[in-house]
Amino acid sequence: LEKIKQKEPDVEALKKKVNEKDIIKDAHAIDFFASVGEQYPIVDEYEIPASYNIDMIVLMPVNAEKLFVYWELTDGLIKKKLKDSSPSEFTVKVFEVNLGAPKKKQEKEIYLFNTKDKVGSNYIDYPAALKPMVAKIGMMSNNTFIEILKAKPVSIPSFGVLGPDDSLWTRSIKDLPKGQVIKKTEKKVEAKKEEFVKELEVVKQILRVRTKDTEILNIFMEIFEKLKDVKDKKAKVMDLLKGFVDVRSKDIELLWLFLDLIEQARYMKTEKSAETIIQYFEEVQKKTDEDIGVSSEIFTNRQVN
Amino acid sequence: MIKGYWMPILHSHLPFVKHPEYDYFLEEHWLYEAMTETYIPLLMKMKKLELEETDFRLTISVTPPLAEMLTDKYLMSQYMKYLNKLIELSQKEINRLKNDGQLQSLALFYNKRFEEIKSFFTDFLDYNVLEGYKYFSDLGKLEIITCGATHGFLPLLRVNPKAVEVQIAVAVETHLKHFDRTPDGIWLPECAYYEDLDEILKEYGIKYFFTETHGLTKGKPTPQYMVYAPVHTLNGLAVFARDPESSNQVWSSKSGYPGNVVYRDFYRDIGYDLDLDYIKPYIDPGGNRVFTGLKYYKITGETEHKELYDPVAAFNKTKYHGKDFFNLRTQQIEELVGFMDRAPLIVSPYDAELFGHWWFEGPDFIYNVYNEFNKQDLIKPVTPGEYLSMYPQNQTICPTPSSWGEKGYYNVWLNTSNDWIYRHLHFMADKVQDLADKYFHIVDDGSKSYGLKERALNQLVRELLLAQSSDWAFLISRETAIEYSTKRTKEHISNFNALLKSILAESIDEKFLEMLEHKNSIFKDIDFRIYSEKYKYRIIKGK
Repeated sequence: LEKIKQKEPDVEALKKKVNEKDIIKDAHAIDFFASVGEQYPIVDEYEIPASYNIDMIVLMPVNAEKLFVYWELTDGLIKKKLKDSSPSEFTVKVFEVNLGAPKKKQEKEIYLFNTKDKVGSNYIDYPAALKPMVAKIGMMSNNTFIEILKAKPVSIPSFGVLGPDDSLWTRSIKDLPKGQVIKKTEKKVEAKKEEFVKELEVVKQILRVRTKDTEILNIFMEIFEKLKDVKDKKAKVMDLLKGFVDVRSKDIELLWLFLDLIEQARYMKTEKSAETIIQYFEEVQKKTDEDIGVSSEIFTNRQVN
Repeated sequence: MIKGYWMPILHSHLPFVKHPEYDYFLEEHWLYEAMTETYIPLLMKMKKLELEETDFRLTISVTPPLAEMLTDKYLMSQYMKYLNKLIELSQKEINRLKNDGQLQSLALFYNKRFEEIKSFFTDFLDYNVLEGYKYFSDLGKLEIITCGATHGFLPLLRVNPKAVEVQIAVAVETHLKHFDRTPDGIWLPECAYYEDLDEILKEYGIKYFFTETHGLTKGKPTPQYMVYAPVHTLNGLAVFARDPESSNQVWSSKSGYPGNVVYRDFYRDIGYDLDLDYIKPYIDPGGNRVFTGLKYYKITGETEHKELYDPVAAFNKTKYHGKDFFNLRTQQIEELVGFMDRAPLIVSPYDAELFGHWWFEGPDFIYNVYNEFNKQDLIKPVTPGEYLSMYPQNQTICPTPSSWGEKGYYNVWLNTSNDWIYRHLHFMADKVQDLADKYFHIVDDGSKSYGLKERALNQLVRELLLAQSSDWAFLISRETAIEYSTKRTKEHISNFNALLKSILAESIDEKFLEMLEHKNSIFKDIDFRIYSEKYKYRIIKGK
């Protein structure tokens, strides 16, 4: 295929072309089947349980500005968690989760409501509902929240929040060599060199995101530096943070070096092609003693996670 | 020199509806109508294009419930009865209208059409619509992709990630069973995406999927080509997003093609127009009037008075609209070329059943669009596989959570009318997972109790999958077929709980189980162990 023009894409012009206001949504075929004709008289009646006698709290996003939470509490759990085994009211709290923040500040309360129901549900309006969230149900006692049950967090990976660099381009896994019509699901697609390369790029990308995290922390550090002169008590906190950022920066530096090493090692001869970075390392590890004289301890002591 | 590409995608889906307990069941007719008006006519048009040596490329998703229904012996035997009755009715109409030349010519038109559909179905397709898809796939003209096992709305099932995984795993296995190969692509149910879903898709060999427009345009970072080229996720899957312009052109309520006055009126049907005694053998035996498929009037305009339908004039209009669609794509690509350093791609996904069922002339329109594209070499229809082979290198972004439902997120499937469903679905998934782990190693000792338990566990998974179908929550939300959709959801929840109780009590009612296996017979070969973590290990390790 010939390229039309060798020039940078005009993103702003393309944005204007995607006129989303005009999108016809909801043109569902099933609507046209179901919306016509008299409704067939349903004679069957099915009973379903009102609750399941389990302990559960679930939080789900409805859209970018709304969340839905439902819960069910058993008497057993209430009795176990609270001194008062029949409280008149429960409190449901919703938190925005920021795993990049210090542990004690990872959960920011965004909403709370009280309920008398052991089994119930509610909608919550919040302008950033697609961010990582978690819900808890408990009881307020002397202005203290006593947690009974916590929902599984609706998690988003950090690179999903920050996004990769716009310069990251990768090869499609569709672009693997032909002839891979799989006859059985049980057989995993044989990994090819391209997959290795792609995986390497993903690792790089994650590292870039981690680096970005650290850059953000450095900005916080600068702010704290200024605060240090104002309040002496902040000094200790600042030192702790500084220590954390230093360690993290070194860690990232090491990881970058480690990645370079992987890339270098890729060009070394191995007996068979690797499917993953870990496998590749195992291959390299075997060859190191004889080929480059590197102690295998280096590799065994540093697991690739 | 090729300036750009057009990628049409037709999403073919109907929920699993099978009621062998009734001789006549209205909702079963969704399938028969879709076969007669969409699936078979579309394949007939493809065959025509092939015979006329007109090249075409099309991507079709065939959802697992649809594939299962199209190969279900009971449903297909019912379909033959349905088709024969249509032919009988059209013959009866030819006699009734013998003194009205214009109307009789329409009855003759329908009679000829139904006979042709029947002959194509029995001869060329050998009573199996899927054979047609396979035929054109083997010719390299059609790319068949899958969808969720029962069209489950994945972002709302992910509370238990295994529930999402099983929707994908069963979809891949069902695709393999019906098309002899695993799918490269997937049409996500309701086009609904959430972060990390690509990780699960990748595990099951899926290489590309589609999102709604804002799934990419609001992704991070903003894609350099917006929706006019695919991107990759961090897991390496390609993502194509809908072009709003070409969607609008067909389905805009103001300016869309199907609303043209010469096209057939969807609502005027002899099932409603004719004397009840005359039409009764061809509608619901209870006397409820339903559509028969014989419609004699055109849209005409915003008036109660409708003029007679003219099939020739309507076909000519599809030629005109086909050309118009092509011209506007050309114009669109000419504009885009100025902003891009590669040939732009226009991705146009539609619900397949809208072509033929809702828009009667839709298959003719598609046929004429391909004729227009075939006249030149500047813009070519393309499949995702072909495009990715030409452009393997793409920008990597994180698509944003989205769906193609109203407001672009999950509202339609989660609101005050249908939110009661999810408490049950999540409980059921957790329970099945527990049981799959617990009974993973049960061994066939030849005893009756073993056989019953395994069958009951398998049926448990079927009932869960059927309850997860997004169609029920959608229809409840839209207040269409609300009784049936509520009934279906409650039926599967109720069946599940009855089975669960009997499994836990070691007291399985064989007759009840047999009835469920016969009625809710989707995924005949399903193994309940698919819900276990150990099963995942088996798939990966090939054990």
